[in-house]
Amino acid sequence: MRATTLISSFIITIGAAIAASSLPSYFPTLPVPSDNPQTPAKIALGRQLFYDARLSADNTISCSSCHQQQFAFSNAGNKVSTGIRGQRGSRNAPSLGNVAWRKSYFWEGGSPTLELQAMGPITAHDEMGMEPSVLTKKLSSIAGYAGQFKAVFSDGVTMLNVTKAISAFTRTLVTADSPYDRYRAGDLEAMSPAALRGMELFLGEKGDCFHCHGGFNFTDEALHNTGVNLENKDIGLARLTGKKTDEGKFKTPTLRNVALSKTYMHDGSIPTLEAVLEHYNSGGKDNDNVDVLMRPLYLTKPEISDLIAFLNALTDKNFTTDSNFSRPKLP
Amino acid sequence: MKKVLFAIVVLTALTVAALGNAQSGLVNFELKANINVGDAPLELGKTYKTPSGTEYTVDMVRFYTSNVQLVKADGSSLNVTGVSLLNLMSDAPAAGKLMDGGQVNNATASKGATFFKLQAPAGEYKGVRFEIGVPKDLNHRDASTTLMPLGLESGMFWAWNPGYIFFRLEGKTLISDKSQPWLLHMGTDNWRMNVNLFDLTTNKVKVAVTEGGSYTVNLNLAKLFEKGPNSQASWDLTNPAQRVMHGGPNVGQAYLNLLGAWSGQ
Repeated sequence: MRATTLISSFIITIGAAIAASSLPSYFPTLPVPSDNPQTPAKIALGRQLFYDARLSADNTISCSSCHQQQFAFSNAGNKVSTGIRGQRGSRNAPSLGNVAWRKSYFWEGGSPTLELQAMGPITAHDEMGMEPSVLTKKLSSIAGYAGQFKAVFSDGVTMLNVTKAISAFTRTLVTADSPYDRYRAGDLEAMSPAALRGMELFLGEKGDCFHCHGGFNFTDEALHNTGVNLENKDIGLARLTGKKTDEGKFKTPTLRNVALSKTYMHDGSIPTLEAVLEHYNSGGKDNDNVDVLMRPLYLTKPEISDLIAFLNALTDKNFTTDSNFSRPKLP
Repeated sequence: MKKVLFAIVVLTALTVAALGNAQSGLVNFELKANINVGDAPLELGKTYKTPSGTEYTVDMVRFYTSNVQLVKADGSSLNVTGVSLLNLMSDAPAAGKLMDGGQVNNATASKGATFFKLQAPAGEYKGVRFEIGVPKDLNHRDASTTLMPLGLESGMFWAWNPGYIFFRLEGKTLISDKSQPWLLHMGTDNWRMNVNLFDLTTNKVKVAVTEGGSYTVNLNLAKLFEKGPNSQASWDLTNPAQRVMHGGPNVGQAYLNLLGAWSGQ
C-alpha cells in the first residue's frame, strides 16, 4: 500500500471515529460516500468555497448568503432566496443541519446526493448564476484555490471537485446538542415542563406530528402535500414525474432548529411557528392531492403552546456559534 | 527534415484513416442547422420581438442530439450511435474528456452550425430523424462519473432533477424598461423531442451522404413564441411563469411549439 493511501485511510478512520464518538447513540453513523472521503484539507477547502461569493456570476452571492450559521444555516427569516442581480427565487432555503443524513435533496427530492445538489444553487440563473466552465477558470486563476485544489484532488479545479469539497464541509454540519438531545442523554432538567408536554403531544396521535417528522432528524424523508395552497403554482414533485397526483408534494424538512428558520413551508409562506401549528390544527387547505394524514387536530391553545415549547427545545445553540462552521479567511 | 517527416506521418495517418473508412464503407458526414428567427439567421444578442411585441435577445442556444437515424428508400432506417451537444454561444466551454460516442460541437454563427457528426455508408437517403435530448439510459447515470458531453462540467446537468437539460435557450428581455433574463430549460424524459424529417411519398427530403458532405436542417426559434400556454394566443414574456421555465407546466406548450420549428431543406 502506498504511503499516501495509508495516510488518507488514517485520516478517514480518525475522522469517522471522532464523528462516531461525538454523536448521540440514536444517530446513525455519518454517511460518507466512498468516492468522496472526508479529509481535513478538503473540508477546509469546502468551507472557504461555501463562504465565497466569487462562486457567483457577479461575486455577490455565496452559499452562506442563504444558509447563515446564526439561523442554523437557513435564510434569516427570508421567505425565499434572493440571487444575483436581486432576482427572487420561489422557495425557502432549508436549514443545512444534519444534511449529510438526508436521503435526497431539494424540496422535490430530485437530487440523489449532496455532491450533485451543490450544482443546483451554483448554476441556477436566479441564485448564483454560474456556468461550470467559467467557475473552474475563475477558481484556477486564484492562486490560493489552485494550490489547495491540487493538494486535495489530483485533477485540480473541476466542477465535480468544487461540489465534492463543498459537500465535505456541509457533511460536517452536525446538530445534535439541543435541550431535547440533552434530555435524551439523561439530563431530565434539560427541557421545560411545557416542552415535555409538547413532546408527548408531538409523539402521540393527538398531535400527530411524528408520522412525518419522526426519527432522530425529525423527518420521514418522504414527500407530502400538506395543503399549503389550494392551487399549486409550484408543482413540487410533479416537476419531476409529470404526474398530476404529485402536484404540491414536497419533502418533509427536519425540525431540528426549526425555531431559528423564522419562515416556514417550501415557499416560506407561513411566518411563525404559531401559524404553522394553526395550519396543521385546521387540517390545511383542501386540494386534490392533500395528504391523507392532513385532518383537523382539535388541539387547544395550551396544547399548541406546549408543542411550540417542544419545537423550541430542538434548538442547538452551539451549532449556531461553532467556530468550525464560521466564515474562514478566504484566499 | 523534421517538417518533412511530420508531413509524412500526418499524410500516412490520414491515408490510413481514409482507407479504414473506405474498407468499412463509411464516409464522414455532418448534420448542420440553420438556427433562424423567422427567415433570418439568429444573431446572438440582437433584439427581436415576440408576436405580442415584447423585445428579447437570444444569447445562448444549447441542445443535445441523439438517436440519429438515416431513413432508407424502403422506409427502414440506419441507426447512428452517439450523443452530441451543440453550444451556440459566444464563450462555449472546452470539450474536455469525451465519453465513448460523445461529441461537443461549438459554434458562434447560427448559419450552418454543425450539431452532429457521423459516419455512414454513402448513398442517398430519404430523410433523417433524431431526438433532441439525452437517451434515457444515459440521462439517469451518475453525473459525477460521466464524461462530456454529459457530466457536471457540461453546464447542462439539472441539479434538482436526475438528468440533463435537453434544450437550453437563454437571453434577455425588456420588462418595464428593465433588462431581465428569460430562459427555457427543457428536459426530463417527458420532453425528449422527436424530430422527423423524411418523406418517402413526395421525395421532398433528400439526404445525399458523401464523404465530407452535410445535410442542413432549419430551426426557427420564432416558432417558440407563436402559441402561448393555456390557450393564450402567443407567448407572454412579461409573465414570469413564461419568462423563466425550468421545466414546469408551461414547458408542454414550448415543446409543442418547438416541435413545429424544425424543417428540412
